[in-house]
Amino acid sequence: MTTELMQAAQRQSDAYRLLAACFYQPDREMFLEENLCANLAGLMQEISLPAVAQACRRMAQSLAENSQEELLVEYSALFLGPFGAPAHPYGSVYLEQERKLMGDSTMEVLKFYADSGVKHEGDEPPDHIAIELEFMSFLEGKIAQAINESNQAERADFFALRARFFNRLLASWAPILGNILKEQATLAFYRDLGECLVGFIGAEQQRLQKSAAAQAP
Amino acid sequence: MKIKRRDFLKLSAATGLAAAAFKGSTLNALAEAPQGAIGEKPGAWMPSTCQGCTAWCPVEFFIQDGRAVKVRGNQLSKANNGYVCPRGHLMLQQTYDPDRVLTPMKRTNPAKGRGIDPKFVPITWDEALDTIADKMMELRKAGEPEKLLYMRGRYSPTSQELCYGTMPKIFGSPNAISHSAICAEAEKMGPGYTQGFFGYRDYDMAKTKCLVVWGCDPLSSNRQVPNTINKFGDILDRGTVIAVDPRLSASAAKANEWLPIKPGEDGALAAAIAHVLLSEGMWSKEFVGEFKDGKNLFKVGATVDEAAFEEKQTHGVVKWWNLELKDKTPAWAAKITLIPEKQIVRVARTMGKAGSACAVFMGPGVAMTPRGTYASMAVYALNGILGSIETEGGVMQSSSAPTDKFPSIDKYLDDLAKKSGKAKKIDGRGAKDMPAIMGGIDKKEKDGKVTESAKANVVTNNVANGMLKDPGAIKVCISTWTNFAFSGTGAQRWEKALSALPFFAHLVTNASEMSQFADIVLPATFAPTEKLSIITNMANLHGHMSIQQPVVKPLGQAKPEETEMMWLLAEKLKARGFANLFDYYASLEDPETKKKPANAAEFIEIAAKISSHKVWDGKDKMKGDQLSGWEDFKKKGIYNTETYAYKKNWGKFKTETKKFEFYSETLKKTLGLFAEKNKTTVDEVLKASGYEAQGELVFVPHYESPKRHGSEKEYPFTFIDYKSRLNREGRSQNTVWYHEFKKLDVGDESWEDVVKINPADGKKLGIKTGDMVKLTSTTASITVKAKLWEGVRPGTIAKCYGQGHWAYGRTAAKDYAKAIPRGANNNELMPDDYDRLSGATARNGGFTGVKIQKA
Repeated sequence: MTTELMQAAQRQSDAYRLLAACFYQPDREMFLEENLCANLAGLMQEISLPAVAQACRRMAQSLAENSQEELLVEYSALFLGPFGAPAHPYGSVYLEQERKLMGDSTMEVLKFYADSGVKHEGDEPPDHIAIELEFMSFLEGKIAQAINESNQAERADFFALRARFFNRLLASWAPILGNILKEQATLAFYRDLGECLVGFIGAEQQRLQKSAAAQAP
Repeated sequence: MKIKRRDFLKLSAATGLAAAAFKGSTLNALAEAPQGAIGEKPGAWMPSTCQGCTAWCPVEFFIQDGRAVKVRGNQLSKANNGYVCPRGHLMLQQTYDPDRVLTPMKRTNPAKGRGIDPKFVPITWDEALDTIADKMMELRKAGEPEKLLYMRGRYSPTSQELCYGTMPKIFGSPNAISHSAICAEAEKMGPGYTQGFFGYRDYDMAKTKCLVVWGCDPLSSNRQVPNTINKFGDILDRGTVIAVDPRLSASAAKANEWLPIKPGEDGALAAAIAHVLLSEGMWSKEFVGEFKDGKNLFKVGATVDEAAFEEKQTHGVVKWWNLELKDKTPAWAAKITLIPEKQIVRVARTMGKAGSACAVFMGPGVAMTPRGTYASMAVYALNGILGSIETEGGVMQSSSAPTDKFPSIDKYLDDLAKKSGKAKKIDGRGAKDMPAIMGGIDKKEKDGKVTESAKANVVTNNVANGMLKDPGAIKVCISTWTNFAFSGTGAQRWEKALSALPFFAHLVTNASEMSQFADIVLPATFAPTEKLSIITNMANLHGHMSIQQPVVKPLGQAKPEETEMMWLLAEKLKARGFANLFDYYASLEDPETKKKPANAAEFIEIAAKISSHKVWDGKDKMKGDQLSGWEDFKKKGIYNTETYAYKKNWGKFKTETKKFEFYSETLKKTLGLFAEKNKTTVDEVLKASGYEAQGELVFVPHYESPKRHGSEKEYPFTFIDYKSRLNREGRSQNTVWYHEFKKLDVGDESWEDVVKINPADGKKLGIKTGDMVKLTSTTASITVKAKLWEGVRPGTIAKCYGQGHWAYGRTAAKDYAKAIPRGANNNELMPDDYDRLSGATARNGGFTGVKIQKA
């Protein structure tokens, strides 16, 4: 049972991490060499999300068919602009009334990172979708580790952190971003990345609700 | 954002992390760290400098956990008394604007034009600078470095010298172009050619008894807003505020008298006020002088014997009366200006009564118009008659804190740079029809021999015409903090010129209309929160030097243009065999440690220390604040000079006569030198440049009728443009606060860009508030929402500058992909024209006739 639980947490950790990787500046060659989309599809299949897995397979196909420049132009147009990106990758743009970077929600993200024992390294605001997904991957990894080490206290701490971060922050805006990608992307890679994000975050919402219910006294 | 480690893409089973001793997942942007505290530290105020308007206010930012959360004036500032104006607060939204350029980008679509997606993709700074350096070196290899054009927008008054003042020169191009002539340069012609002071004035508002705000709205913009807000109420208690403006501005709304002048007729009103002041004996006896027998001979229509008057600090008052003023009665002016005769007389008497404590605060509305030089002289000369030059309650020249210059670049100029640096500039300055003599006489001494010539000032907006006229003249352009395709009148010309430019690199905080045509877009630091430099300015009778510094970490990969970018570019040029620029930069020396810079970060700090060291190094006993060193200066962020001494330039004004010249010998000499160089006559120059005066009238402040594009019959309405109190040099329109609080501009509406039309005109045209209307000038049309408003007189319509972005962030532009603007850009409606004596762009004075149709 413990091994199964640990493996499940690891799988979630991998799924979050590989999904995070898709939101970085595309490096077609590396993505292909590492079978990024196929591996992500496999993970989604394993966690019983066949529609999401299907979207990942379409991403793999798009990756094979589109050139690096096509991917880069699309990535830039969606996430960078520079004339106002339609799919801003930063949480605060969706969560703050004033549509800005480094908002109160961003500071809350930073606080979550600090409370969990990680820090953000880089020039970008820390609530980039890729970084928040990476953080979820980190939390799932910590949970896996706590399970492995039978450290109940730590496991409970990371369970709580995960639930709070996911519900208060990531899940509040990631589906909006996913839907924008579904609507605005012209390449299948990013359209299906949107599909994947919406599907996965939606499934995670249900999973974490169940998990919380199971933890409830 | 790039993936730093390949492991990040691997399944944990593949990386061994799934082994029994599981140690968590692979990280990329995050790193494990001891648990920290966020949101629990108290935070601190850090000094810097706002550059949202020309006041360049010393400010402080409250920083918590590395984030700027609040703004106030620098508590030690004597210029703004520790306050900022509304636009200061917008710096927070500008710093954290999600649409900022965060990484260098290059265009992948070679086709350039409005509505054509450049298909920008991210590149590294290294790649960007490699490309720029390659393009530059091609010019040097071809022996044509003059085909490099550098254009600057907002800059630091000190470190600009390392970029604008150095890079093009050492490289070998004369084409260093400043934005200043689209801003307010013509305004300097008045004080320049009367008082020998080609600069912005300061005002003793703490003591003023009568403040005349003329062609500006100092409660909103131009040029010391917090100080004016601070003092304005007291002036109303103490005396009188008079506002001359075709529009009910914020100042006019609070003033005792509002003179809604017909646009462009300021020279007529000034002449009539001068006429009243002289004919009623209300001139300053102390400053101007007196009739020898004490009897006032200034009678309507009467020529006066010059010998009958004995002048003191002035020159040519009787000549001015005889040539211009004797017939310029209030009745005459009333017909032209549409200001009632009685009001003109009343206002003149109020001003005369306040005498030398009456300050005429003149702004660009008077001067930034074709023929504006003379209106500027006429309005400014009122201060001369009143004797309010450097008096209690009067008008001062600027105060300045002592900066130190960077070492000479002369020995870094190679033969090619020396030769091509003398090539003709692209902006057409100095041509017979574009004298651009803002600045007066240039005296040069070489081997004991003095040569004099007329100074030639920049004609920013004419650069587009120069490029269109000679498409091969510029091959490589670097521009920083500019958006002339939006901010220059006749904006469409810039689009054409930039489309044809072979290579263009644009460094900006936000991609804008100009970036649409760029081959490379580079992320600029937002100067007030992210750039280290030294800023100087003045207000409230004190000069100041204030620090501008990174109070937060620059967002993304933003870099300061004048220091770091130049250093990195110089390194690239050096690697390609041209080391002169780098060698010059590397020769700078820390004034404290004598250390030379080894990298960009050291270069940035050394530059700031060189500019500022006089105020903190303790070598000289300072007359103003006492600072104990660089760290003390950085902490306090400011040095305030001593208080301006009244009358300090009396008898030594920098004019030809050392007097305040109502008859400008300085202008006469400058124009003479200019005409001689161009082998023509002064009258021919004036004629070619579109002025009406000939003969002796050329040398006195006088009335010139306003030039208007479009006949009154075909284009019956006169269009006027003005600035918002939330305008940050045209960069704040992507902040939501700009739109939310737009209603703070008198007559404007939040989240709208309305053209204001008098209700009587609205009735005639069948237009009501909220209707969409099409405004058409001789060159273009724009479509905007109408608002009926009594703050403009019938026949005049007003719209604020700033909106109408079609290529900007998601708040400023309505739909970038379709090039649909939010609101409309006044600069597309107004054609490009100039006050050719100063080279300044016309944007005021109602020079644009329009017709209004329901859209």
